[in-house]
Amino acid sequence: MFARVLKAQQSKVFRSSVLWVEVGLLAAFALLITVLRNVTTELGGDSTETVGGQLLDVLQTTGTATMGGMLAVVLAGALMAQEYGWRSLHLWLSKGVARSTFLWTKFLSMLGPILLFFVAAALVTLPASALLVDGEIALDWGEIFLTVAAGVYAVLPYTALALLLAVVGRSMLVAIGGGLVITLLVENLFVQLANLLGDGATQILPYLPNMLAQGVMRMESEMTVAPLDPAPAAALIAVYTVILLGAATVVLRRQDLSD
Amino acid sequence: MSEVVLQTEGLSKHFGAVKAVESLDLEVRRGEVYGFLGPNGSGKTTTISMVLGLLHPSAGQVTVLGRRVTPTQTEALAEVGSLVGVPGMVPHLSGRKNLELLATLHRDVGEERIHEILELVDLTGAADRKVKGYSLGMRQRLGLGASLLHRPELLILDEPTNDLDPAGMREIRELLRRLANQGITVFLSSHLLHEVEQVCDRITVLAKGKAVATGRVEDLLGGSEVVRLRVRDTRKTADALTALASVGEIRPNGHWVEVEGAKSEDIILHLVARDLVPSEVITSKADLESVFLTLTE
Repeated sequence: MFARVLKAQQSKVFRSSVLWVEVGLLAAFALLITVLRNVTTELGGDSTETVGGQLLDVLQTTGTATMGGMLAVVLAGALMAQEYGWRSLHLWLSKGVARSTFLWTKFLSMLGPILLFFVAAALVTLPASALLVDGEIALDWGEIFLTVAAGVYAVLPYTALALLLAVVGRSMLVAIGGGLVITLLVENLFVQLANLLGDGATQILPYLPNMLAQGVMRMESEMTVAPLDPAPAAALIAVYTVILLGAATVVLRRQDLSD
Repeated sequence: MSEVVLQTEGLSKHFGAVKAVESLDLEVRRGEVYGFLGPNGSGKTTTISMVLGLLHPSAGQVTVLGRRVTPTQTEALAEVGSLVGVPGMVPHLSGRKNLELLATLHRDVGEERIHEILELVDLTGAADRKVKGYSLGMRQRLGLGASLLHRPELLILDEPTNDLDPAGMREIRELLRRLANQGITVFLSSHLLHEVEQVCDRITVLAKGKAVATGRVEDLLGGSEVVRLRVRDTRKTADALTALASVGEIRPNGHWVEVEGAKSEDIILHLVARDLVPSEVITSKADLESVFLTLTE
């Protein structure tokens, strides 16, 4: 049953217009960033840019809260909240699909689309960068693969957060609105507050999801504290994801789903 | 006696201080068409929602096809088809795509079965149109089709003819009887009493969350007559009839008195013994509507 439900969830998500709008927006953003970057480096006379370097930078940006996290929140939040609004959740559960199965397959079905975000960014950045950057195109495919894998992984807590908010609020407004507020504002507020409070407070910053994402993707941070190493960062991302998805599961199992 | 396929024991649901369903005991046997009647707000949809694991009962239990059903134990529902409220279809997908999506849940449902179902519910022509463009009746038919996709053993329908035109309603009634003849058990709630009378073998009448009558339709109707008496003094006649034990309701109306609950011969003998001989007596068998109204008042 789990495999069959997962197949159906994947079919639903790839038929969603929300996904394709997001892919389009991300591709446009990636193209814009690449073009602007090359224009500014051209103007600045910087000849150290490489196609591989630019591609990695775009992929890493896609894995952060402000890009991949935000897109995952909107997609997961929308698709789960819609199941309440359409009553398709009620229909599937009344066909014997377990509540936890429905939720976990919904979560797993997001992996493909999240990967698609990175693929779309790469498909746009690579030719644009190749056209605009002088010199040989030398790509480290191992590094690219690791960055994409790490990026997809880094976005998982945001996906789980959006599912939790959708289950709790049973509405798109709560799921997407709440998710975006937490992803884009609350984390930044934490950062601002910690910087104001001084060194002691800034020690918590590496443990926030966005910095964990930077840690697992081995990004250079502009913060006063460095991100964690990839392994501990990955472990904490798993902890966040399990806690958020676990909470969503508990709430869904206890819910009364009436008209 | 045939196997019990759906059973509730002491099933209750309270929403705060409101007792939506109270100690409901139901037994639905294999192969029958079982009607579940009640006025709006009597607890029918709440009961069906608990049977389908959508609501947590406050007390009692549900057993479907021999297995317990709760919101966290719903394996038994894989053999059940259901239609509750507005069918939960994905609006931007076509009717056919929606059925294909649901078909992935079942190993033995392929394109041929989907085509068969679309024909059965008369949606072949609109199969490739998006569901958001369907009328309410079309959505209802699609929902019914979805409930039949995997050839369920038990069909649970909450007001299946809602939003259907008279021809559609008749088709559904005929379909339900055909399904019952094929051995599929049907449990349906409806407020369309005439429809229930035609289709159902047994019924339960629900009022304010409690079962007030259960039995075969003809048994529930059999003892009920409406006797109309033309008399000279309606007040004296009505007063005299209150002494007759089996009388239910007495309604004076001009020169007539309508009596329910007692047999015409008992009424006439009782009145004649008191020198209150009616000049006319008209007896009509109660229909389900009048029985229903009496039970649910």
